[in-house]
Amino acid sequence: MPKNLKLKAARAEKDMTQGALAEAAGVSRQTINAIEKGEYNPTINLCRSICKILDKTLDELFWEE
Amino acid sequence: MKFSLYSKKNRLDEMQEQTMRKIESHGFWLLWGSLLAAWIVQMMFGAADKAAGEWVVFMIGCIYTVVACLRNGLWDRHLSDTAPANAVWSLVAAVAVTLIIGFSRGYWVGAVFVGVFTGILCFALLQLCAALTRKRREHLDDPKDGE
Repeated sequence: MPKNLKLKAARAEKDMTQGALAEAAGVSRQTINAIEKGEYNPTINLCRSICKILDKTLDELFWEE
Repeated sequence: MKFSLYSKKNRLDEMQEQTMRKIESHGFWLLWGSLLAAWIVQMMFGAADKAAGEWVVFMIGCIYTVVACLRNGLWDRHLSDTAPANAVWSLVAAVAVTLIIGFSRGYWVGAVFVGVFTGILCFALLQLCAALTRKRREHLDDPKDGE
């Protein structure tokens, strides 16, 4: 799986650390880190939760061409 | 800080849960293989009566796994449930039992007899389980349910 740079950029836009995003989404920092590094494929529920927190759509954060 | 020994709520997130399941799965197969190896070694050295505890624990694990898989219509990730595949695994079991009994007792005619019987029993059980799994899967895949 490729790195999710879109998620990293969206998080930076909101000036959030991995820890802050993790706390808001109710997961651990290592899970957010693994998603950004492309090491973990999150469930649709977690994707939706991350999108709501970062004010993005699923396509904007998780769609791959 | 409030002391809490146990919480009904899962303290793991989805990735940690997945990792924990992998660890538990590896642990289970490690125990399964170790128990089987321990039981075979004890059989080979003529201490089968002392291995009753290991055998009971091993069988409890096996029966639970088989029943849980049957109830969920699951066979295996990689192995097929066809009669030729079951025949191959039964042959492997027959040869293994023949060798274990043969080397531990030194009575090869008896060992072959027990081995052949094990192979036939193993094949019958595998075929029965495969048929039950297919039947259960068909029931779970029934479009009438939930549409």
